[in-house]
Amino acid sequence: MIAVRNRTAIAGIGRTVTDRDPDVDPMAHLAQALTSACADAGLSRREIDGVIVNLAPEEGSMDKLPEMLGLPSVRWSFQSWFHGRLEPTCLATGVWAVLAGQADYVACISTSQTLADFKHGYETRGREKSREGGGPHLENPPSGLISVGGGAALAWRKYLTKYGGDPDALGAVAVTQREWAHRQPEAYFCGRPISQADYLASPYVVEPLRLLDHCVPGNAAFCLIVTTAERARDAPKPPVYVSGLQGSSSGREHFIFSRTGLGVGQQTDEPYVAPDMPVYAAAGISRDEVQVFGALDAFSPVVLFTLEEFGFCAEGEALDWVQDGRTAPGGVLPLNTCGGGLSDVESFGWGHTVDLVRQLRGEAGDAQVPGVKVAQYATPDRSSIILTAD
Amino acid sequence: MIPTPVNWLDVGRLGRPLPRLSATNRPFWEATARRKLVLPRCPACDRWIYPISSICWGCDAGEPLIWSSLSGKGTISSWVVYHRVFRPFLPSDVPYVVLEVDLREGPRMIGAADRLHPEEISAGLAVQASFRDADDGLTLVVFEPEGE
Repeated sequence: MIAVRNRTAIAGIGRTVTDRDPDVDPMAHLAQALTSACADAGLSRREIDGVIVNLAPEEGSMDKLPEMLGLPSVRWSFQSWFHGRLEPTCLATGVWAVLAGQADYVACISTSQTLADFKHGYETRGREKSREGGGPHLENPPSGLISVGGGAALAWRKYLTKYGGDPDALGAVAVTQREWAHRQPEAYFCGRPISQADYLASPYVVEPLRLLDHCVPGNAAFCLIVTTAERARDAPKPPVYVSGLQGSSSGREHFIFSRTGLGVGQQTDEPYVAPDMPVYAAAGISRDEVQVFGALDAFSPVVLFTLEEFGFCAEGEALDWVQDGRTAPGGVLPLNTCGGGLSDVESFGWGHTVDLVRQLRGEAGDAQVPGVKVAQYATPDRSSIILTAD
Repeated sequence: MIPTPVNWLDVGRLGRPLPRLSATNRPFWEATARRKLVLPRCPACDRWIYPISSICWGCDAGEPLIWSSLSGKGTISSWVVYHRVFRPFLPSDVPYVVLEVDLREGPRMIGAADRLHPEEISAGLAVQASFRDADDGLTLVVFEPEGE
């Protein structure tokens, strides 16, 4: 295996303030995020010679964006499939491009773009296809399983059936992430904290999921500039190293809204013990050293599935584990300190990762966790990135 | 004949989402129209192939799959209740229930519930497949309590 540990780094980050204005062109957000990231990295646009786009208004945004911004030096460009699970993979692809000498500064960029594409978890464009004979999230439209949240709801019901537990306790995830969002001026739910009573008053959308278990559709864009560690050390901001990478697992056992072995869709239904995830060895750390954690949170239960998938707690224990402030400000594992998809905007991991860079730089403002040196983002289908600071 | 959808969310004349059809899955929908539940099965390893596919997911024999009948009996393994209307469903459709069913023969299948009130549902409840004409030529598999 080619070692990636600390050979590349994030030299600049940019993001836009979340809005919910349907008249705003998502490309405007993308352009602003990229120019902000350049300023943050102390680069002029002409130094950006690589671009990778994840979510964007349309295929071809990898051409549109450099055209809009007049980027004169792009010699490596790529656009991935529009799916949120691919955020770590997009960053990894930027890392490979830098390590292979294909580009010196790769702008890795994505919009949230969900305002136009999703409404309460229903994908309006029908662009994503092909899991379980339907959509990528277990959708089965002829049977009425027609929203993105349907598969997550089936997984959550399965979890409750298998392990017991009080479904209302899931409110701890939604309420805690709002607490974090309250400390983040760019988050949609900044200034809008909620209580457990608000959670319980929230209507069911796809029972057992309530409205407050759903991520927030909105407009925002995010950019991280990947370069060599050496170049990053010359940037104005302290370097944040890409220390470990892990790809997105696929196959009958893996579903982005479920934990392995839960028995959702074609998964087997069997005892689960988290394996040694290669991302930790790649980064040269143990799981216990992670100080801030980002988890995919398109729907609240997905946070629990991610914690169990990676072994932060044992099978069936995550619902109890997130009670009592463990993931809240001052807790043992601050989680989704940007507010996440549930309370900032559904960014498919991009907002989470920009936030982890801020935490590692000490730039997270009111949400800052003291002394962060190791941070991780992960999804239930095992894609992950570990970032570290000197 | 079921209309051929262009998009996986295409909706038929009577307002139901249509399945994406191909040579691979057309026999399933032709069978539901005859009130039969069938799935492909691998003659080499006897596995049921679900989601419907053109190749066995569990062995390398590579033998052509054979469409075979299932009892339609199974138990509920998970379920959700839709309270919010997502088009093309109508306000009068909610609340409605979608089930995940462990079929007796093995496959775990998604299907709409019929004659099952949300309050009556629990994991392990025995159900059986039934059929409901939902659109021009489209007959859905629905699950109802066993023995009714």
